[in-house]
Amino acid sequence: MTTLWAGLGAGAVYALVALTFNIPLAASGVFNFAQPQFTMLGGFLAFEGLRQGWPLLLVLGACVVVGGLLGVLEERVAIRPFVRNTTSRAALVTTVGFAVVLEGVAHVIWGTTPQAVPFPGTDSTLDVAGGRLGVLDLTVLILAVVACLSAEIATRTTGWGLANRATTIDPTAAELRGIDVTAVRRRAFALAGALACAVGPLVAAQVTASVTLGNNLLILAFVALCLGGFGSHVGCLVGGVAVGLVQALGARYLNGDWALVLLFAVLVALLLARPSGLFGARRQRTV
Amino acid sequence: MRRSTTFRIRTLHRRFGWAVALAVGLVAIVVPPTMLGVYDQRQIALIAVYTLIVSGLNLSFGYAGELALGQVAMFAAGAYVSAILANHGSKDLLLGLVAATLAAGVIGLVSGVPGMRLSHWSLALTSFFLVLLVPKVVSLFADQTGGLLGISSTTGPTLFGRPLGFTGLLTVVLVVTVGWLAIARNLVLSRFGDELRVLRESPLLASSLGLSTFRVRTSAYLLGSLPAGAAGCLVAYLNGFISPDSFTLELAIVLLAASVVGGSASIYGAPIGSALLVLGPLQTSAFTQFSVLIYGLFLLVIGVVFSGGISGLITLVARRLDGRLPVVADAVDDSAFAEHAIPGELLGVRGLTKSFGGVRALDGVTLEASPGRITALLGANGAGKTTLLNAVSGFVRTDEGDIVLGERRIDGEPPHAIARAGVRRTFQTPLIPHSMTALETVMSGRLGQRGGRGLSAVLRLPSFRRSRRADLDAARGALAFAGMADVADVDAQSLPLGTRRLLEVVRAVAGEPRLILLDEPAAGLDDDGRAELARLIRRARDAGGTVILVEHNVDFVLGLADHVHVMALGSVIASGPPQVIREHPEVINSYLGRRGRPESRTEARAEVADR
Repeated sequence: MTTLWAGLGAGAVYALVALTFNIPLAASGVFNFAQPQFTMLGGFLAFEGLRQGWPLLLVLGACVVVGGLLGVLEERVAIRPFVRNTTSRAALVTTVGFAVVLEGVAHVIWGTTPQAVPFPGTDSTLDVAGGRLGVLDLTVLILAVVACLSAEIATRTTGWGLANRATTIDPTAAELRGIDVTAVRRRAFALAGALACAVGPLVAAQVTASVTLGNNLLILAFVALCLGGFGSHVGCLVGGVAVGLVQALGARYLNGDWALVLLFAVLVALLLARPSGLFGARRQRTV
Repeated sequence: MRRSTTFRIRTLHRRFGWAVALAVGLVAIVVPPTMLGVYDQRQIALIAVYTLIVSGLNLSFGYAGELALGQVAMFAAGAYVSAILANHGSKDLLLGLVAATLAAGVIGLVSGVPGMRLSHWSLALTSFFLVLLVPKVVSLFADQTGGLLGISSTTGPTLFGRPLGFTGLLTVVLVVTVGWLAIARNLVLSRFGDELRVLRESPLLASSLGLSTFRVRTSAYLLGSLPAGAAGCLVAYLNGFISPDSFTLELAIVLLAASVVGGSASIYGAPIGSALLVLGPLQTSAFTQFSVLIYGLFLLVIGVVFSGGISGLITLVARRLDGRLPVVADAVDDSAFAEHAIPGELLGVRGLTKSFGGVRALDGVTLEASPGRITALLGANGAGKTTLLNAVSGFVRTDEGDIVLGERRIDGEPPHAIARAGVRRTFQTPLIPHSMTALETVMSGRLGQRGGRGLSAVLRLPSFRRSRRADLDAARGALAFAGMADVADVDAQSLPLGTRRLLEVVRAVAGEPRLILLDEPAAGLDDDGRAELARLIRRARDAGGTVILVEHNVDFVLGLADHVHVMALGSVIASGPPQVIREHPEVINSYLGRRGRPESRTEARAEVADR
C-alpha cells in the first residue's frame, strides 16, 4: 500500500507537469518543451530561498512570479516569431533551445550536484488504508486534483476557455472575432510557467533539486499526457497517476531500471492502439 | 536584362553541382589519411561520424519536418552491437557496419511507427525517451555491455580478413561518410525528395496527390536512423572503448545544434555544421560548465534569426547574385496550346449520406459524372457541395452509400489511395509549395506513380532516368496543354492567384486523372481570370476528362457546365443541362431567388412609403 501511495504522490507531479503542457497547447497549439525546466528551476529557487531562511509562502510567491515572467519571455522570444508561418517547424527547435538554455543556466549556477530541499513537513506521514502516505505526497495529490479539475471546468465554461479553443482551432478567425490572439497565448504561457515553477519546490522536496530533473519530468509527463489524451485536463490527472503507479510498482517488483523500459513499452503500445489517449477526442480532418 | 545572362549560379549548380561535390568528397577521402597528423586525423574522423548522424537527423527533421532527438540511441545501438560482436571474436568491419545499421533500423522502427501516430512533437519526445533509456538498457544487460563501466573490446578491426591500421580505419570512415552523403543527395533529388517537400508544406496536399503521409514520414525517419547506426560502429572502433557516457542527452542537443547551424534542410549542411561544432565549441575544455547554456543559445538564436542555417545563407547569397527569377506578366500564351490526353472515367455516387452531429450534410445524394463532360454542383453555402467533394476524395468518411469510379468502389478508402485510383482535386485556396518552380509543382502531380525512388534513385539506374524523363515530359506536356509552357521555370508561389489556380488544374492534369474535382476554382478571379480558367476546364473536358466543378458563381457555372446538379440541405433538388436548370421552378425558389415576388414588392413599397 505504501508503494501505491508513493506512486500516487509521484503521479500527481506528472499530472501537474502534464497540465502545464496542456495549457499552452490548448491556447496556441504549441507544445512547450521547456515546461518541465520551469519546474526544475522552481526546485532550485526553493533550495536558495529556504537556505536564506525565507518563509514558505514567499518561496512559492517568488516561484509564481519568476515562472510567469519566464513564460511571457519564452512566448515573446521562442514562439511569436513563428506563429504566422504555419509550415515552419522552427518553434519546435526554439522551445527545445529555450529548455536547454534554462537547463544551462541552472547548470552554471548550481552545478550538477543534486540539492536536498528541506521543506517543512517532508518527513511526516499519515497511516492511510494500511500504508504510509507522506504529507507532502498528499499535498501534491490534492493540488493536482484541484488544478486539473478547475482547468477542465474553466475550459468548458468560461470565456477564457472559449477564447483558448478558438485561438487553437483558427487563429485568424479568432482574431477577426476580436480575440487578441497574442494576449491569449501570452496569458497561457504565463499561467503554465507560473504553475510549473510553483510545483518545483514540492517536487524538489520529494526527490531533491537537480539539473536533470527537467528531462526526467519531460518524459514522464509526456507519457501521462499521451495516456490521458492531448488537450484533456482530466486526462492529465488520470494519465499522471497511472504513470506514477506503473513506475512505483515497476520499481517495487522489478529492477528499478526496468520501470522506465516498462513505461516505454506502455507508451509504444498506447500510441499504436489508441493515439488519442483515454480522454482525447479524435478530430476529423477536413479541407 | 539580367535574365539573358547565361552565368547563373543556379544553372551551374544544377549542371555541375554533383561534380564539385564529388571532387570535394574524393579529396576528403584521399587527403586526411595520407597528409595529416594523427591529431587532425582524429578530428576529421569525429567530424565524419557526426556528419553521418546529423545527416540522418536532417532527413527526418529538415526534409520531412519531423524533429527527432533519438539519433543518439541508434548511435548507441550501433556501437554496442559492434562491440558485442567484437567481444565474441568477430571484428570484421563490414559485418559490424551491416549489423549496426540493422540494429539502428530496428530501433528506428520501434520508435518511429508509434511516434508518428501523433503530431510533430510526439516523435521528438518518443525518440527523446529512447536516449534516456540507453543507460538503463546498458546496465540491464551488463554481462554483455559491460554496464555503466563500459566495454573495451573494439580494437584491431579487420576488413576482408586483413587487419586495418588507424589510417585504414579512417579511410573506411571517410568512404562510408562520403558514400552516405551521395546516397542521401540522390534520394533527396528524386521523387522521394519531392514527396518530402510536398509533405512538409502540407500533409493535406500530399495525401491528395496519392502519398501516404505516414509512410513517407516514417521512411524518412527510418532511413535517417541508418547512418547513425553505422556511425556507432565506426566510433566504437575509433575509440576502442564505449560506455553510456558517450551517448547522453547532451550529445543529442549538440547534434541538433550542428544540424541547425549547418542548415537542416540541406545535404551539405551536415558536414558544415559538424565541422563547426567539432572545431569550435567542442574543442575548449574550459567550456564544459557553460556548454549546455551555449548550445541552448545556439538553438534559440539560430532558430529565431535564421532558420536556414549556413547552407541556407549560401543559397540566399547565390539567389541574390542571380537576381530574381523571371516574372511572367501574362501566363497563358494564346498561340501555344498542345494536346494532352486525359483518361477520364465514369463516376457514380449512390445514396450517399453523411451527418456531422445532428446535421445531415449529405442526405442520400445520387448522381453521375461522365467522361468528356463538365458536371457542376451548384448550391448555397451549406448545401453539401464541398462535403460531397471531400467524400469523393476521401477526406470525409461517409455513413452510407457508395462511390464508384470506373469499375472500382472507392468509398471508405483513405485519401491517398483514392488519389492513386486517379482522383485529383484542387483546393479553395491554392496549395502550391514554397520554393518549387511551376514545372516542379506540376511534376508533383505525378508523385503517386510507382518507381523513381529507392535503389534506382540511389544508383541513378536507367529506370530512374526513365521515370524522371516521363515526369518531365508529362509536366511539360500538361503545361503546354494549358498554354503555360513559358512559366515552367518561374517560382510557383510568386504567380498571381489566377495563374496559381490554373497551375493547380495543370498539376491535376499531369497526374493522368480519371476524375478531376475543382473546388470553387473561380473564387476571387476577375473576368479575364475566369475566362482563362473556363478555357482550360473546357480543354480538359475535350481531352477526355471527367470534370466535377463546385462553384457559387451561377453565370460561370451555367455558361460552362454540360450538366448541373443543384443541391440544397444535403440533397440534389434538380438535375439537367444548364438551360433547363435556369428555368427550373424549384431551383429558382430555393437558390436563384425570384426577383419581384409579391411579398418583397410590398415590403419595398412600404419602405418607400416610410420615407
